[in-house]
Amino acid sequence: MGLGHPPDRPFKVMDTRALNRVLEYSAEDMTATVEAGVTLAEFQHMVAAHGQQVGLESPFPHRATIGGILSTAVAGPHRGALGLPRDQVIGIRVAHPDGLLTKAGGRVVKNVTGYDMAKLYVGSLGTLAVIVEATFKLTPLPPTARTLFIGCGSMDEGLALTQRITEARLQVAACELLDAVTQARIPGADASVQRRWLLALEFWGNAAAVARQCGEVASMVREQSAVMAEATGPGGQAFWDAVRDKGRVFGEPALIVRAQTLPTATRKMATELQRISNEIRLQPATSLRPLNGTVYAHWTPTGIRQAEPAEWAALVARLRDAARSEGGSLVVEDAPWALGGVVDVWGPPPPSFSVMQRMKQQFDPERLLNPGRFVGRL
Amino acid sequence: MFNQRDPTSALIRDLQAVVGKSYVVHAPEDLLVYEYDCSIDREHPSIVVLPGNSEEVAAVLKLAARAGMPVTPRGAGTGISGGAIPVGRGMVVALTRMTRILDLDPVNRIAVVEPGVINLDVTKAAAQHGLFYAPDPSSQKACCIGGNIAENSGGAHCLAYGLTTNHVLAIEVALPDGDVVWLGDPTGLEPGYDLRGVFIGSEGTLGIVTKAVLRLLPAPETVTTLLAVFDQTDYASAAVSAVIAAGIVPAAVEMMDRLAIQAVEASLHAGYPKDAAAVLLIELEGLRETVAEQAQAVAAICEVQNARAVEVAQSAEQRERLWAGRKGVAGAFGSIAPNYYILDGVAPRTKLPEVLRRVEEIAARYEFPVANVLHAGDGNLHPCILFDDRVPGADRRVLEAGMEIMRVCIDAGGALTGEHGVGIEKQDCMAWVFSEDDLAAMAKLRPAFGADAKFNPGKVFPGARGEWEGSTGARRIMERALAAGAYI
Repeated sequence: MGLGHPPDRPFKVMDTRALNRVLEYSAEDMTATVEAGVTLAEFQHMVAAHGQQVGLESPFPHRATIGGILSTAVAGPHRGALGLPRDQVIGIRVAHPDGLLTKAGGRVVKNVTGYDMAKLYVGSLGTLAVIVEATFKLTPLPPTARTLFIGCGSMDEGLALTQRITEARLQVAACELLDAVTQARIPGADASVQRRWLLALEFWGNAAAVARQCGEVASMVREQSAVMAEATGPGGQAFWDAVRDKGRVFGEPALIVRAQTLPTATRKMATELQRISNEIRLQPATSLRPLNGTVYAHWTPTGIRQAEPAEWAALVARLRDAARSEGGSLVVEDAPWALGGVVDVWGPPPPSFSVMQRMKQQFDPERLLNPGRFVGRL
Repeated sequence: MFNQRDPTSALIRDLQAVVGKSYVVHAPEDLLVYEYDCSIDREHPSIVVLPGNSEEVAAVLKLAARAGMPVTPRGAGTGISGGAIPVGRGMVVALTRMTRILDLDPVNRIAVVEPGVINLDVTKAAAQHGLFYAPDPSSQKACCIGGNIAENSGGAHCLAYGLTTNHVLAIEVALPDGDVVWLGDPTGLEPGYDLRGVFIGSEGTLGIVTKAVLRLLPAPETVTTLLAVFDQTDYASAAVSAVIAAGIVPAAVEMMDRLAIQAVEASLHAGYPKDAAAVLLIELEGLRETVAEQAQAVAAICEVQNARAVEVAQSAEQRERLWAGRKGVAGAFGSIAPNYYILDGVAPRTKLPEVLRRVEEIAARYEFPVANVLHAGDGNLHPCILFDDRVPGADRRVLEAGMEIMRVCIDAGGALTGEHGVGIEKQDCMAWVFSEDDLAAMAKLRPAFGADAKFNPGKVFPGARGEWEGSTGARRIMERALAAGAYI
C-alpha cells in the first residue's frame, strides 16, 4: 500500500498472496509463468538453481510479490543491465472488475500477436485490472559479479568519475552515488573508503572482461586520487539489496521521492535538491543513479515530524518543478500516513491524460479498482 | 458503413491547402503504387495524402474525420501482413516525406526522429558517435521507424536486444481525431499508463506516429560471426538449444535449411556450402574477452551437436557477405520459384525440431517445396512456401498449407506471429489463441484512443470481412505473388 494516493472512497483490500503457484518453468526455453502472489525472492531462488534470473528488482524481495512489482513497475539500480520491469513480461493474465479473466501475449519470447496488453497493466497500479499471473523471459546469471566502492570527496568528484566510465564505454551493471547519510544506513562499504560520497559500481560478465573493467576503473581512481575497495564474499549482494531497500524500515514509512530526468540533468537535479532542502534545513539522505538520470531523496519519520505537512507538500512541489523543468518527473514512492493525501504523489498528469481517463472508463467504469490512487486521481 | 469512400473536390482542395498540391494523390494511375505492400492482399485507396510534419498529419486526420472517410496509415510499405492495405478504400496517409532526424544526443544516447526515417539511417547517423539503433528487421534498408513502431518490429539481433518496444522511449502520435499528444517521455519512466507500450505493435490501428524518441546503444567492442554447417536440420536445432542452455545468449542465431541455402547461393553467393542440410549463422557481440570465450564455447557445442564444420568469419567483408545472404534470402527465392509465401510463426526454442518436421510433412502433403529461414535463437520461424500461381488453385492451397503450419506453431505452445503482425493475413486465426473475452479487452483500446471503425479498418481483429464491402479492387485472398524483394 506504499505507492499512490490514499483511495478516495471506502475500500476493501484484496490480498493476492495465496496466488503463489509456479505454473510453468522451462529452463531450456528460459521462460517461466508464475501467479501474482509469488514473492520475488522465491522466484529468483527457483530460477537461480538453473543459473538464471528474472530481470526484476524490489525492496523487501521476501515480501514483495510479482503482482505488486509489476503493478508499480519501479526500476532498480540494475536498470542498465536488466531493462525495466515492463521489458521482462511476455504474457499476462488479469482479472477485470466484472470478474472476467483475460490473457494477452503468450509463453514465447518473441510475439506480436494482438495488442501488447501487458504494457498497459504493468505500471498501472492495479487501476485497470488485477494481475493474476505473468510469464517472464529469463536471462542467464552472470558468471562473475564484482562490486567496487570508491570514496569521493564530493558529489562532483563522483559524477566526474562516472562520466569517464561512460566515455570509456565500460559495461556497468549498476552505478549508485550515495551521500554520507545514506552510507551510514546502507552497510557494505569498507570503512577505509568512507568519504562524503561513495560511488558503488557493479560489473557483470565473463571473469576476464570484468577484471579488465575493474582494472580500468582502478587506474581512473588513482588518477583522481580517490580511494577504492572491493566488496568481498556476499558483501556485494548485501549492499545492492540494501540499496534497493533504500533504508526503508518495514511498517514505518519514510518520505522517499524519486526524481527522474535524463542522465545529463542528474547533477542539476541533485544540486537543486540540496539547495531547496537547505532552505528548510531538512537535508535528506540522497543517492543518485547518474547513468539513468535518477535522484532519490529520503527523509526519516523522525525528520518528517520537524516540519508541518504543508511544508512537505510545498517541498515536494518545488522539487517536482525542478525535475519537470529538465523534462523529467518526480514521484513520491513512499510517505508516512501523516503526509498521505497531503503531498502530491504523481504531480500534474501527462499530456495524454485524456486517453488515460478514457482507458480507465473502458476497463473500470465504476472505479472499483484502487480509486483515486493513481496519476490524476484515476 | 462509411459515409464517404471517394473524396469530393472540396475535400481534395482542403487537403491540398494543408499539404500542398503535389502531395495529394488522386489520379487513378498514380494511386496504383499505393494499393499493395509486401503482403498478399491489395486494395485501391481513393486518395493518398503525404503530410510533411505533425501539424499537417493532424490537419489531414481532422479533414478525414469530418468527411467520414476511412484512413489507413502507411510507412515504407514493406509490411508482410497487410497493415498498410486500405481495406474499405478511403484515404491512405503516407509518412514517407517525414524523414528528418530532429535530434541526436550522444551523451544521453537518444535520437528524436520522424516516422519516415529509414531504420538503417538511424544507425548510420549514430555511428559517428559510436552508437547504434538495435532493432534490425531484414528490411532495415527500406523500412521506416513509424512502420517499425506500428508492427513492433524485431530482426535478427532481437535475441539479445529485444524488439522495437524495448528501444522506443516516447512517441508523439496524432490520434484519429487529429489531436497530437506525446506518449511517454525521453526518460522512459513517465508516470501514468504506459500508452507508449500499447501503441507500439498496434499495427496502425490507434493513431499515427509523428515523432519518436529512440534509445541508442554503444556499438559493441567486438563482433564475431560463426557459420556452423550441419548435415541434418535436427542437429542444427539441437545446437541452438545447447548454446542457450550453456548460458550463452548470442546477439543473433539464424538458421537456413537446404533450399534456402541453395536459393542464396544461386543468386547472392554468400559462401554457404550448397550441399549442407542447414547452416547456423551465430553472432556474438560484446567485450572482447567475453566474445572470445563464447566463440570457443559455441564452436565446441556445435561440434558436439554434429556440425560438419564451424567457420569463423575472418574479416568484416566475410561477415557482411554471410549476413548479405541471410538478409537477402527472400529476394533470392525469386530465382528458384515464380512465387513464394512467407510465413511468420513462433515456437518454443526447444520445440523447433518437432515443428520443422511437421512443416516438412505439411509441405510434402500439399506438394509444395518449402524453404525454412529461422531466427532460431528465439524460436521465430519463417517457412517460405514456393509455388507457381499460374497453376489453378495453387494460391488457395498455399494459404491452406500456411494456416496448417501456423496451427502447428500454436499447438506447440508458440505464437501466430513473431514480428510480421496479424494485419489482414492472420486476423481470422486470432480466435485460435484468444478467447472472445481476450479480444474484447484488446478492443477496448480502440475507443480509448478515439479510433472508430473508420480508422485503419479491417485489421487485427477477426470477423472484419464486412469492411471489404463496397470495395472495387479488393483482393481478399491470395491472388497475386508477393512483391519481389520482400524481406523476412
